[in-house]
Parts: sequence; C-alpha cells; structure tokens
Amino acid sequence: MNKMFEIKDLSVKYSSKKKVFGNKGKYVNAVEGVSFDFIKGEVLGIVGESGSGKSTVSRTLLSIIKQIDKSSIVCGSVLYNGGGKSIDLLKAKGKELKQIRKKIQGVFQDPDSSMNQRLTAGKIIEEPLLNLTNLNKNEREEKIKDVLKKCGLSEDDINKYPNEFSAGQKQRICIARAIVVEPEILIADEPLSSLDISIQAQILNLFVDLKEKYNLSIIFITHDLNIVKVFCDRIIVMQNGKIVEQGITSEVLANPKDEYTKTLFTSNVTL
Amino acid sequence: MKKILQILNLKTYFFTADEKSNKEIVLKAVDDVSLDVYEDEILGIVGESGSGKTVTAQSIMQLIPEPSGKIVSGEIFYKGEDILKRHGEELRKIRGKEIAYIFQETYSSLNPVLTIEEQICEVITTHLDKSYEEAAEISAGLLESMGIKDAADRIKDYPHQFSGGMRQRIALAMALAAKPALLIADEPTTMLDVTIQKQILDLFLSIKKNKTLTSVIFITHNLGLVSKYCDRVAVMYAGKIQEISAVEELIKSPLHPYTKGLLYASAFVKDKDNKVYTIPGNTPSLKELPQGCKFCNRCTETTDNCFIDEPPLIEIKPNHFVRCHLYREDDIK
Repeated sequence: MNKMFEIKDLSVKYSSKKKVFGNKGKYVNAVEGVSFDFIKGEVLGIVGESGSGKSTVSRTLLSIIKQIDKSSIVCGSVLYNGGGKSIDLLKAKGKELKQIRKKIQGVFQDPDSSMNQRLTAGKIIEEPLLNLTNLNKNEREEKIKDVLKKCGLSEDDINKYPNEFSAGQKQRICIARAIVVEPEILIADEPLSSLDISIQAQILNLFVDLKEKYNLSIIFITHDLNIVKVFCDRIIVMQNGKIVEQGITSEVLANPKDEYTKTLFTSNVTL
Repeated sequence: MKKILQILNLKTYFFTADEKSNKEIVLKAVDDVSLDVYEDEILGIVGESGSGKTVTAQSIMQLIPEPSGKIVSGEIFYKGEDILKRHGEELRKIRGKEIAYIFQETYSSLNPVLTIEEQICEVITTHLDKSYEEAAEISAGLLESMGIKDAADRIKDYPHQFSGGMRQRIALAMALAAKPALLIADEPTTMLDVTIQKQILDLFLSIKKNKTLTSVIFITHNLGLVSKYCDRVAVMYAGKIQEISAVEELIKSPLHPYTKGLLYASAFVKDKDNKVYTIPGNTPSLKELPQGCKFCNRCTETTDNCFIDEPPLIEIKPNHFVRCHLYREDDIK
C-alpha cells in the first residue's frame, strides 16, 4: 500500500481572542491528536457534525490554515509522500510548498464565495496555472479548454462570468480549477451540500469520472452518509476534534462500534 | 377530514427588468397552485430551489416583498375565510396567532439585541391576554418543553449565546407561543446537523401528537425526511404542483417522471458503470421556462405533445394527482 499522507498526532488550536498588549490570547482546540493514513487511489470520507474538526483537518492538509487564522497553533506531523520524497507539510515553505500545492488541490462547499466574481471562468481556472506552472499562454488556454470539457462545460464558457452560470455549473468551474494542474490528491470539503438534489448526483458522477481520468486520490468531507455509502472506500468519523471510529465504509456502516457513530447513523434518514 | 387551509389558483409573480433590453419580465414563481391542508396532518412540500415552495408559503402569510413581487390572483381560505383579503391590523391577528412560520435561517429570524425572553413574551403579550410576568413564566415552560436545559436561567440570554440547533428550538418555541393551529416550517433543519435535525423533527411529531398544533406545512428538499415525517406530500417544479398524494403512495408508486427522478437521485442508486442516477439538465431558471410541460426539456419520457401543451393536474388514483401527459383521465382508478 502506498501511503499518500501519514498524519500523526495532529492538533490544531485556533486563537479565539486577539492578543492585546502582550495579553496571552485564548485558544480553542479544533483538532486534538488525530492520526490516520491516506492511501493512494482511495476515496476517504470524513464525516461528523459541525464543529467536529473535519474542515480543520482539510485546511491543514491544504496548507491554508495559517491563511485562515494567522495565530493558530498546529502540532504533530503530516507526512506527504510524493515524487519519491517524504515532506512534512507543516514545515514546508516557499518553493517546496508551491510544489506541494500543485499536487494537493481543494474544492469547497460554496462555489460563490470561493471564486472571484469579477473574473471570467477562464481566468479563474487559469490562476493556478499561472501560479504553479510555467506554461505559456497558448498552452494554458489549451489546458483550460480541455478541463472545461472534462468537467461537463463547453469551450465557449471560457469568457463567461460566474453569475452567468447555475449553482451546479459554478461548482464544476471550481472543480475544473482544482484539477487543471493535475493534482494527485483532491480534498473536497462538503462540495455537494449547497446544491440541489438532482444536481448533487451529477456532480458526484463528475468526481467518479475525474477520479478515473486523472488517477486521483480523494478526501471527501461530508455529513451525508448516503453519499459516503456509494462513494467512499474508507470512512473516518470525527467528534469534538477527535477521531472516534475509522475503517472500511461497508464494515463501519454495518457494524458501528462507537456510541456517537451509532447515533449519527440512526439519525440519518434514507428513503 | 376537515380542511384547515385551502389555497385556490394562487398566482404569485415577481416583476423585474431584463438586464440587456430593459424590458419587463414576469417571473411566475407560483403559477396557479391549488392546495388543501387538512386538520391533523403534516403536509410536505418538496422541490428544488426556484420551484416556488417558499413563495407559496410566504404568500399564505402575505410576506411577499412588494412591489417587486405580488400575489396576482387566487384565494387562500383559512377556516373558511379568505385571508388574502385581510390587511394591516386584521392580518396581524392571523400571523403568529393562527398561523405561525419558522424560517430556515435562525440568525435572521431572531433579533440579536433582545433576550430570548423578550422575544417570546412579545408574541404572547401581543396575541394573548397576559401580563409580561405571566408571559415570562409561559415562555420558560415552553423552552423547557423544547428540551432546553435550565430554561429559567437561559431565557435571559441573547440569541448568539445558543447553538444553531438551540436557536431553532427557540424559534419553534416562539412560533408555538400564541398557540397557533397551523405551523409553516420552511426548511427548518436544512442548516443543522443530522443528529440535531432528528431531535428537532421528533419534537415536531411530539408537539403534533399532544395536539398543541393541528397541522404543519413542512417545506423541504429532502425526500428522506418527507417519507419519515409527513402524511401527504406535494411535489413542486417551476412554480407548479406536479404531483400530490399520500407519502407512502408517492414513495412506492411515483407517477410523474420528475418525482421518479428525484427519488432515484436522492437515493444515490449506482448503475453498472459505478455512476449514480441523475436527472439530466439543470434546475430551470424562471426566465426561460419551456412551453408545454415545464419539465419537458429534462424529461426522458416525452411525447410530442409535451412540448406544446401544458398538462392539467388530474386525479389518477383516489387522492393521487399528477400533472403529466403520460396519464389520462380515462385510465383513472
């Protein structure tokens, strides 16, 4: 088994109060002592209620935690095994971090707030290419057109602005932006929850499609167990910043051990 | 069964201008909706965004923002009286007292600068003949029954001191404070976690069981919740009711292709290519609805007629209505 991530004892504290004149700030534990491995080619589902720390884990893996809270404290180690090397994500800086960003990309819940409304779809998708690759203008345009088609949009959409798209199409643009640099890992943080039911299934199929085309490994954060059931190979259940249960999806679903997992499963309504 | 609410041919339109040509466009958010709510039932209204379910509910309470939106025609009878004819002070006697409304967003439905007590008491003192002290006592009791611990102390707190699930309980307590007969719950649990969602909806059931409320209109896009909590369900698409029947019937033998699609899509059924079932196309914009059946451009079972004529809503089986050309009145029963 090829481990893409080896996460050991990860703890994240957010600062809840600003430091004023040397007063020590207060901290909130968002994630406490989380350890897990992420294996190449798998879809790993992370489930849990709001505040359980699942998004914090995804932000750490995307190395954007310091951008969200400058004075947050991150401890532990997140080993990323890529390109024949092991790198601790938490220590990566500068050029090395840029290399990593090209390999690990993210898709978020709300497509509206994760893209600049004043840029065209083409420009939005071009941004990671500009920042992370050395492609020239023609090569970039080619890539953008290609990725648009792969994401179920058309080449003509390249000059349209976000407000000209439906919610499902906007999420497609965000997904296109994430995979245009051909990452190894895609971290999707509740990518379906802002969408209508008939559109959710379409986007889920897009993930299945792209996983195959780009040979992706996917971390899929969600609170919808029905989606986990059909899409995720393994599942991690989080509560209050800790992992309470993890394992093969079908096994955990059939035989949950932890009390919280049981409550979560019985609260889930299916048709 | 007695009808508590009867909506007849309701049309609620929104008026806006086209960005480019500056011509006026009419958006038919609710187009000729007729719907009955019976005593002692939970009626689900299901639909995707833009289907008109919220506008229908807001029309009942006359909460449509004018002048951009307007109830163009139709009648809404509550206990036999057309409440659309009520305005001002007369209308306020219905709002909150007879029909209560809970919104999806608890942040915006509670006033952040007033304590919970002040907000619930306002409802009670306005509608019932009670002093503030009596109202405060009732409020605390209500909160307690909603499962908020130490209600007598916590009632002095402000909305931001409660979690999302707690705030929805408070909103529910506030909605029930004046003992309304009909409660309209507009996606009350969409923002909440599944565990909290279950608690809140179970609370609904228990409230209905002990007869505090007569009927509930439950608006949602989650068919799973509908199957578990509702008695009857209306499926809306593009401002119109497409199908309406008892819940078990609709889940077991859906008739409209859209209902079938929704059921498959929300069950995430996988086919042999490892793909889940989807309804083709996008949720429609009210600006560009097709002629004929509003679902025709996403439907997989169309006939030529679907693109020309809009089918009427007809009763195919007893109490099972559908708006689709696949079914004719001749095949009835």
